[in-house]
Amino acid sequence: MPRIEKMPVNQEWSSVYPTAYSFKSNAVPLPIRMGYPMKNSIPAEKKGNLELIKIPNFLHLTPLAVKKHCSALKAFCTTWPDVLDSDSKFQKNFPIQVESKDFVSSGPSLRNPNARIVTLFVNLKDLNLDHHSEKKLIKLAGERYNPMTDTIAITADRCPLRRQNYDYAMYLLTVLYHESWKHEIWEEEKTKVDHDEYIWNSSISQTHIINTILRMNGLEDSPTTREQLMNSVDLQEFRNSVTTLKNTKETETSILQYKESVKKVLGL
Amino acid sequence: MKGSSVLKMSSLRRLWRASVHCHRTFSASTAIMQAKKHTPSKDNEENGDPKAKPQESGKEKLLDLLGSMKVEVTSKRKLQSLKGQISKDQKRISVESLESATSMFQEAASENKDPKTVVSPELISAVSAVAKSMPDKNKVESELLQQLRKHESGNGIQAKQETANIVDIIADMKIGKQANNARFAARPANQIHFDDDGHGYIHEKEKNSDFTGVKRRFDLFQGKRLSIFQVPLEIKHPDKKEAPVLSLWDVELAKQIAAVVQHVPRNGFEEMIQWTREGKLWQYPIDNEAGLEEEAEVPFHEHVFLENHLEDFPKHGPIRHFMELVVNGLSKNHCLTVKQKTEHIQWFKDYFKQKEDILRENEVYLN
Repeated sequence: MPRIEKMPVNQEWSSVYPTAYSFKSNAVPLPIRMGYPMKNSIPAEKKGNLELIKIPNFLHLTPLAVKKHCSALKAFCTTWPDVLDSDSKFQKNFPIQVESKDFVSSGPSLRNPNARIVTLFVNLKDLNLDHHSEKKLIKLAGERYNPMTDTIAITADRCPLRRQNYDYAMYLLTVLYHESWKHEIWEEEKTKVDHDEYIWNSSISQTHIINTILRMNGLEDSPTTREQLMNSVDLQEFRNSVTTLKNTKETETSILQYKESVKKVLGL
Repeated sequence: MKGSSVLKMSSLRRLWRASVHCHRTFSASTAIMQAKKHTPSKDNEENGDPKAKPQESGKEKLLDLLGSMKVEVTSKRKLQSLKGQISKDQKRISVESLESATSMFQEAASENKDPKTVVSPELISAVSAVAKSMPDKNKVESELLQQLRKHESGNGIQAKQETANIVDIIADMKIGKQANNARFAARPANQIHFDDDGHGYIHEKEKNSDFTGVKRRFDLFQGKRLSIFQVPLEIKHPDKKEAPVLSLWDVELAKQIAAVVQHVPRNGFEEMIQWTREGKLWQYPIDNEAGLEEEAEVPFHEHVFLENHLEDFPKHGPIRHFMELVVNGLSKNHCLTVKQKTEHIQWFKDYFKQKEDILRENEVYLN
């Protein structure tokens, strides 16, 4: 007598199919048919139906069964800490993000060489850097720096194992950080041409505008007057607008701003 | 008394065939037991004497046996009484029938010991009895007698040893139980005997009433050996303490015990647990690097920083450049072990050492 005829309606289905198993026609009480129907006929019945046996089924993963699995696994899990309820907190407490991949495939071997790759993501804001070190770090990192997100992504795949690659990536980060803080002797030999951004302070623009203002207002050319001028708000504004124009992309607002500042400085 | 065997004509025929069969099995050469044909043939030259030498001692043993044996003189009488009887032909060659045959031949052989060309009268009667059961009576008889005479005239040792051979074999076969025939005759022979409990043999109960008078002359495993077969080592040296050879029963018992102790998995989960323990199932969550523990103990700097292996190389020049490139490439290689990498570098070192002369010539080799 097949099992289906002995099954009560309120049985536990998860005990009939506890694990993944092929379709057993006398254990599944559903009147399923499968197959291409012959002429003037219906699909074949489930008894002895190879089509049903071949295909993978999820009879072992009914929602109730999944719930049971989860409740059983809960004993091995720890709860998420309540303190970490926002992304920003998470980022603040765990600034370094490590990414790696595990690969599952059906085959005789467990190995996948892509599993060894480890990537580290760090936001530069979370690192203690001053102006010079930041610039230096970005220069050292090169391609790894993403200016959009202001993060450095270090990928390590030289070593055969993930553990080794992780260690190597951490090592690289440490080295980068410490090197960026160092001041080499030859760094002092940096010329204006080497600067990667526009500095107004000792630029031609500064000399020109100051000279213009002095001549315009008929002031004496002395250090005190220069200092005075430097501290004037208009000139600061002028300086800012010029720097912005030079360093960043030209936008309508920045050009208008420059126009305004020039007007103010020259007293137009 | 029907307890003693009754030699029927059919049984004689069976004896004949059995003897032939025996001959095939034991490859002995005798006058009576012939190869291939049912009728006796004269060629026993083809039957070499492989058993000649080892059977030399056998002959002595046989003599002892025969001396201790009670020769059944009655057989001749039985033979004569059977002349009138013709029973149905039964194809089965039983061991018992063999035994009764052998008793006859044994007797014949014992008679054969004395080197006479004259064949004994008993032999002759036996021959005639046998011949009577065969279709071609006269021819058979004559041939048999011829063979017997040949034996007795003999080629000296060879013949004697031949007889000794066959007699050994016969003696070995015969346990002197003609009584068994009656037992089998009591039951209709066409009934098949089943061994019900699968032992592979039938445990037959002794009918004590039949055997009260009969005393066993030979016990199966006692008595002197006839050294026909090579004794296996274990039997020869029973006192030697060697590793016990496990019989099939022992193996089976061990399996049974193991099955009882092991718990057969009740469901799919238990089966998965069992398989994971055995190693048939991967450990979940899947770790692509499972099994590489030895490699895991190697720190990353041994893979990446290989410059320290370049100490033996020149500090400047093309060789250095080249080796730095090699080292760089090796450091990026994730397939080799550290040992393999060092071996690579070592190979280069040896290579450059070999070519030192050429390098010096070209002023490349700077130290």
